[in-house]
This record gives sequence, C-alpha cells and structure tokens, in this order.
Amino acid sequence: MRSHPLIAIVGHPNEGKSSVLSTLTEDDSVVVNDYPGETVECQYFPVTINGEVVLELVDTPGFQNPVRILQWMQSARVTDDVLLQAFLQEFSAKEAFHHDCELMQPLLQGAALIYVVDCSRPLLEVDQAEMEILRLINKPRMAVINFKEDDKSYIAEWKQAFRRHFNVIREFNAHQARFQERLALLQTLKAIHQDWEQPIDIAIDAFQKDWNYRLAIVAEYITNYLEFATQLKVAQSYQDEADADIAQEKALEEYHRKISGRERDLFEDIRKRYRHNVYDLKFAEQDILREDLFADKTWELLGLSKQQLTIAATGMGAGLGATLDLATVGLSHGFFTAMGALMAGGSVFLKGSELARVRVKRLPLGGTRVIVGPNRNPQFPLVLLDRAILFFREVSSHAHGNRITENSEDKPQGALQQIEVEQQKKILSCLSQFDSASSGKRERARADLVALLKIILPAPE
Amino acid sequence: MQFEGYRLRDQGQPETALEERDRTLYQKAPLRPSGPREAYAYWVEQRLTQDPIEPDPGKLFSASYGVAVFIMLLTGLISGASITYAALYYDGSVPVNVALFLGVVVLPQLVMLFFLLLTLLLAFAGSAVFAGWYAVPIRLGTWLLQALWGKFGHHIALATENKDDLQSSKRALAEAVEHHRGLFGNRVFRLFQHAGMAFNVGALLCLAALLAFTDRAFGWQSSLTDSAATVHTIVSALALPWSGLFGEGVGYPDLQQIIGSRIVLRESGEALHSYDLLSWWPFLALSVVLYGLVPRLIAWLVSVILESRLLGSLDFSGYHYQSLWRRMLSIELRSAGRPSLHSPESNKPLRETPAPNGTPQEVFVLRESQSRYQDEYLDKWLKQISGFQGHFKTVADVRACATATQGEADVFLVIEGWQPPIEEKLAALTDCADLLQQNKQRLHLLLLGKPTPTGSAPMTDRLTEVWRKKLEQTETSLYVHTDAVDVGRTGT
Repeated sequence: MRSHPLIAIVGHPNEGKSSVLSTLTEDDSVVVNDYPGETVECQYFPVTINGEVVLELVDTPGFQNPVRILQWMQSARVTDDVLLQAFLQEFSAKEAFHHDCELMQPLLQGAALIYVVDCSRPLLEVDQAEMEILRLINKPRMAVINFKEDDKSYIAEWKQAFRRHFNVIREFNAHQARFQERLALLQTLKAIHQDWEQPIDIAIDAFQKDWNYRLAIVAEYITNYLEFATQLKVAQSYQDEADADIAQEKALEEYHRKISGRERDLFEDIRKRYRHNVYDLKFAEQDILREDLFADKTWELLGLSKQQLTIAATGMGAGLGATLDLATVGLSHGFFTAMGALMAGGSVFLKGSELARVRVKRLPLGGTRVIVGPNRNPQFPLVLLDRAILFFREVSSHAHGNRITENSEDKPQGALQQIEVEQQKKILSCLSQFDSASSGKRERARADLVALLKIILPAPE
Repeated sequence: MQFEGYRLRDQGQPETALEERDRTLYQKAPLRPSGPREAYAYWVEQRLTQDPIEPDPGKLFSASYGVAVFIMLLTGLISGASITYAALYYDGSVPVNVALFLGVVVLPQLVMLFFLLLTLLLAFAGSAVFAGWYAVPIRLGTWLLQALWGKFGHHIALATENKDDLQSSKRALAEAVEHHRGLFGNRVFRLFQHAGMAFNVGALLCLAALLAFTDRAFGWQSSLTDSAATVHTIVSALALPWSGLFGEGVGYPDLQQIIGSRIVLRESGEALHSYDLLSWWPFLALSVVLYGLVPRLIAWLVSVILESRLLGSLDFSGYHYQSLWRRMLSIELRSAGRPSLHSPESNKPLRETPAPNGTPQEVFVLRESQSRYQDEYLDKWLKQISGFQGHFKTVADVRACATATQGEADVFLVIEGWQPPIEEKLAALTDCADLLQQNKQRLHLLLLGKPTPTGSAPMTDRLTEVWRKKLEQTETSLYVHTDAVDVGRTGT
C-alpha cells in the first residue's frame, strides 16, 4: 500500500482515458490515439513536489471483457477486495483477460478510481457491465464525463446511469480543459476519499504555485525580449558610396533577423515552460502568428501597415496619437492618442517605409557606417508584445491531451485591443522608460511591466 | 560585487538548470533564510565554495579600493606637508604670518566643510544636488577605481590566461555601480575623506618636524587694524572649541603674546619678543586638528555608518534580483508518467484481401443495436450497402447467429462499427464464424456507423481499418463490409 493517494483512470477503450491523464498531468508523451487496446500495461504518473510523491495517477488499459467478467463476478457471490483477489486469481493466467487483470492491479494496491466515459455516444450494455463491476469491487470512485466530440445529446442518459453507481460526477473536456478546470477536477478528487484531502490540497497548491511561477517567468521573458528589441542597434560599414544601399539593406536584414530570432527563442521558451514537447502549433490561415514578424501581413492584421505608420510618423508630435488612431480605425480605442502624449518630443524617425531608425555616420578613418536602430517607433514594441501575448495564450491554454495542432480560425487577431485603456497607458509608459538614462527608472519600468503582464497575459475567460 | 559577478555569469544559462541549483541551495540552507538578503548572502557564500569566480570581482574591488585609498592617503599626505612647508617658509628675517598659514591650510577646508554641510542639508531636504555639485570628484574617483580595477584584472587575466572572466568581472563592476549608485558614491566620497585626513596629518607632521628641527617664528600683521585686542577676539573665537582643554596662553596666545608678536615691517626682528613669537604654534596645530582633521574624520565615520545603513537597507527588490528569489522559492513539480509498455498494433500493415461479392440471403442484427436504430432505416441501409431486399432478423447475441441461420448461404451480421472492437466481441465473432464454417458458411460483418437522429453516421476509413486489423488478429475468416463499399476480408 502506498502512503499517498493512488487514483486509477479506468474505462472502456477509446474513451479518452489517456487524454484525460495527459491533460491532467501536462504530459504529452502519453500515447493518445484512436486504436483501441494499445495501452497494454498500467502507466503510473507520480506527482512529485521537490522529489516527494504526493499523489499518483494511473492510466490503465480499457475493459476488454466486461460482460464476461460481470457474469463471473455475479456468480462469485463475494464483493470488495475479496472479489478482486478472486478475480485476479481466476483470470490472470488467461491471455484474453490480460488487459482486464492489468487494469485491476492498481485497485488491489488501494487505488480509488475515476471512470472515464465519452458522453458523445449512447450508453451500451458493456458500459452498464463495467459500472456494475466497479460497484461490486466497491472502491472510492467518481465518474468523469469526457467529450471527445461536442455532442451532448446522450448526457442525460449517462448521468442517470452514473447516479446509480457514483457519488461524484464531473464533466471534463480533455481536449479543451484549461488550468482552472484541471484544478477543479483535482478538487473533486477530495470528495471521493476524505483521508486524501490533505495530500490532494498540497498537490493543488503546488500546481497553483507552479502555474503562477510560469506566468511570472514568461512575463520576465517578454519584458527582456521587448527591451532587447527596442534597444537593438545594428551597424554596417562601407567604403564606397555605391555600396550604401547594399549596406543599408544588409543592416536591416541583420536587424530583422536578430529580432525574429529572438522572437522564435521566446516562443520556444514559452512552449517548453508549458511542457509542450510534441505540440507543434500550426496557425490558421488568417492567424497573425502564422506570418513572420516583419511580413507586411503581420502589421496589416493588426490594423496597421508600414505605409500608414510612415505617414503617421512623419506627422509626429502631439498629433501622432490621433493620427495612429485614425490609421487603425477604431482597433486601438484611443491607445495611440495616449501614446501621442509620450511621443510629443517627436523622437520617431522613419526612413522610407522602414520601421527601424536608420542613421548614417562618417567614420573618422574613412568610410561610412549605416546604423539601424534602436527603434523609437512606439508601435514596434506593441506589435511584438501583441504577438507574444497571442502566442502565450495559445500555448498555455492548449490541453496536453489534445493532439490537434491546427488552431481554430476564429481566434482574436490582437490581444492588446482587448485590454483596459489604463493598462494600455501603463504599458506605453513602461516601454518608454527602457531607454531612460537612469538605471533606477529602467529597473522600475521592467518590474512594472512584469507586474502588468502577469495580469494581462492570461486570456480573459 | 561577487553577487553581481555570479548574477551575470548566470545570464544565458538554461533557466531550468538555474532553478534546480538555486532551489536546492535555498532548501539546503541550515537555517531557512527569512528573506532575500539572508538568502542571497548564503547563496554567494555557497557559490564561492562550489563555483569560484576568477578574478573574484569582490576581491578585485577590495584590492582596487585599497590601492585607491593608498593613493589618496599618499596624495593627501604629500600635498598637506608640501603646502604646510610652503606656508611656513621662514628665512629668519620676517616671522611666518599665521594668517597666511590659516588662509592656505585651514580656510579652504572650512569652506569645503561649509559646502558639504550645505549639500547635505539640501540633500536631506530632498534636493538632488549632490551628484551635480560633486560631479567632478565623483567622476575622478570612479575613473580611479575603474582604472585600478582594469589594471588588476588585466594582471590576473594574464596570469590565469582567462580574458572572458575578466570581461565579466568588469561588467560585474559596471552593473554594481549601476544598481547601487548610492553605495558606490559613498565609497568615492570616503575616498576623498581619506585624502582630506591625510592632508591634515601631513600638515601636522610637517609643522611638528619644522618646529622640532628648525627655528620658526610666528607673527601677525594687518593693514586694516593695529588693534591686538581685535586679533585676540578673533583668535579666542576660533579657539573656542579647544579653549576648555587648552586655555589662553597654552592653546592660543593671550593678548600680551599677540601684542608681542605683531610684525611691523619698519621694526627689526629684535624688537619682537621671541617667546611671544612661539606662542602661536599650538593655535595653528589645534586649528588644523579641529577644522581640518576632525571634520574629515567625522565625514569618514558618517560614510562608514552610511554604508552600513545602505547595506542594511538593501532589500534586493529590483527587477534583476527578483528572478533569483523566485528561483529559490520555486518548487520542483513533476507529474510526467513513467514509460510503460505499448503495443503498436496500429502500425502493422493491413492485408489487402477483397470481400466476395454477392447479395445476402440472411441478415442478423443484435437486439441491443436494433434498439438504437429505426427498423426502416436499417432495412434501407442494408439494401444500400449489400442489395439485401428482405427484413433483417434479430438475435440476442453474436453466437446466436450460428444457430438462428436457416439455409446454407453466407451469414451477414450488422455490427456497430463505431464501437471499438473489444476482446469479448471479437471472441464471440470468432466462435460464430467457426460454427458457421462447420456448415461451410462464411460470416460477413456489415459495419454500421454511429446512430444519428436520422439514421447513422458514415463509417470512417480509420474505424474500418481498426476493425479489420483487430479481426485479422483472430485468424478467422470474417469479411468486412461498410457503407456500400466492400473493404476486404480478414483472417485466412
């Protein structure tokens, strides 16, 4: 017997047991496929906090002979552990019953059980048999309704059947469950075995702390990335005036490459932080994240265009905000008017249709140097931030049991437009401090932005 | 410095590795630190043991600062002695003018002291004048420290052949200066107090040496007043701080001595009283001590106390320090599964054996399945899928087909193909097929899709494939048909 709670996930094949486990434990190494009977052994998922196991979940093979087993059990005229032991004694040597015996093993070790069913299908005789088997074995148990498809037409029928066999019933969509829903499912586990309240509370607390930790660290990643991008300077030297255009082109390319590379690194860090090892996000056709950071389409999807920015930026000064608001046609909700106040000094300088600042300097020993950056365009970090938030929300809310990598097409195209005006102003204020001469101001701006991002990052419910 | 050095060394390292290290260090602390200060001190201590940093930025700073102090002391000492020597120039004809000595050695220090007090008062009142008014000395002190740091670091780098660490060590200094401007400014301030103290010590030593080994006469003169009483009043006022300890005639000259030491240029030196001419030196020495040395000593002490307070008030709440504290308090939460045996049957290729054509004579439907579909729909579906014209027969279970069949034609059984093929169903199908085989009849399975309000959903290719693969494993002759397409035979 284990000292920590042991909870076995049982059910009919192909009901989404592995998906539930994968989502609940954020383990995408769990094999999830539609071929029944591939899970031939129990897989244990110990939840460890600083090396100590506080809770253990078990993925089990599906029932293969429920009707035959029930018939045998009903004739055995015993229940509980005696029945379980007798069953294993009788059937463990029979190859056809290998899966059934394997799924019963954790129950013999004192496990409580979660019976997972897919309620998008009708209730079958085999389901009735399985529930009756579990009732005869009489372990603490709950039923989890998993929706493999969004069809709820059979739910009433299922719930009625559950009420006869389970005290606790919970709906859980393993493909769409977010963090709070995972916590809610863990909370429910306490109801099936009172003695396990404390360890489950410890596990829930650890999950919550870990989640907050990830949020804090991603906020720092994004803050560092924005600072890097807004302060980046790339220089390219040339001797002959004829090479000026090539040098500028090269410098811009290098500038774009560095920022795009850093964005990729950021996205990869976020993906790893949320334990997505196999999830290779493929964005829908209209998704802003599908486009390269410096592609025209990225900016157009945000309601902007390089051309608009150029025109707007030439006007600079106090009028800039209003101009940008007009340019974004309502998307910004006065965002850029607020920004205009900060921009009153007129530090934006755009050359041609480029977003980065380009300067040319004569070198003392001959030759010329073209310098791209740092970017003083206030929209630049906003676009980076918007993409980072969108990516974060996509990854952090993606259930590990969901192996579909194509995201839906009705996702919002911008995250910043959904946040409060006051928060928008604060973001702009923080970003504007990144090039302050005072280290204290920069430190405060970083800390403020992190605090703000911790509020903004999670997607609104 | 060491803390900054290690913090910089961690930059760019994998975050998970840093988390594990810092969490372990924090958890293994013999006394659980109550906050970031204690935790960071322990962290630096442990890291110095486990992962020494060369050149150690802390030691480098101490060494640089030590040499800077030495340079300042030497400069102060030499300049104090030199200026005093010049102010006490005496060729035996005219006594040394005490006003000149006070004006050169003491007065500038009094002005500086007044200026410092004014700055401090304004600083306490909230005005940020310190950095502006003292920009030049701060820049000079910073330059000196950084130059020394560079020299020392360079020597160490040459010795250890490690230039990368030197660079990171230099960056550690820059970061420390950046993040702790108050502390660093205070150290620069103290550097100048060292110079100031040494200046006064140099002046006193020079005065003492000249008095001990040469003959010096002191006097006073003024074009504005010839009143010795006025001079006496001024001297008494200046000597107030020490007059309790060294009174008139000892700590400063009395009126008679002042009268006796007045220099009148038309008179010869013989007219002066030699005893009175010597009465000035204690006053001069005590002026240097009280108006030069003691204020510098007090400023130095204030700087030491201020540093201790600044260090004590460091809460490491800045952005760059938060990440370490966050890592220390992180928890190692793992929930991934242990690998288990997996049987990849789904990867095995399917044998391509077409099902024989022919219209069914007899079709069976399981009673449970019948309850989920309408009879009319089933008849229509059967006609569509197999050309069957009659009405299906209902059986309680799969095996019942073998006994319920009439005639010698192949038997067709409707199976809900949307359900996964489990062992007991496959076993029943195998038994049934074997029983029929005895009469040379074959069992055909008609896979039916999931029930819908209007009938059934079409079987997907994947579901059909799953059934065929599972049936293939039974090694029994079972033929699979689905949605008007004969998809093949399984088994042998």
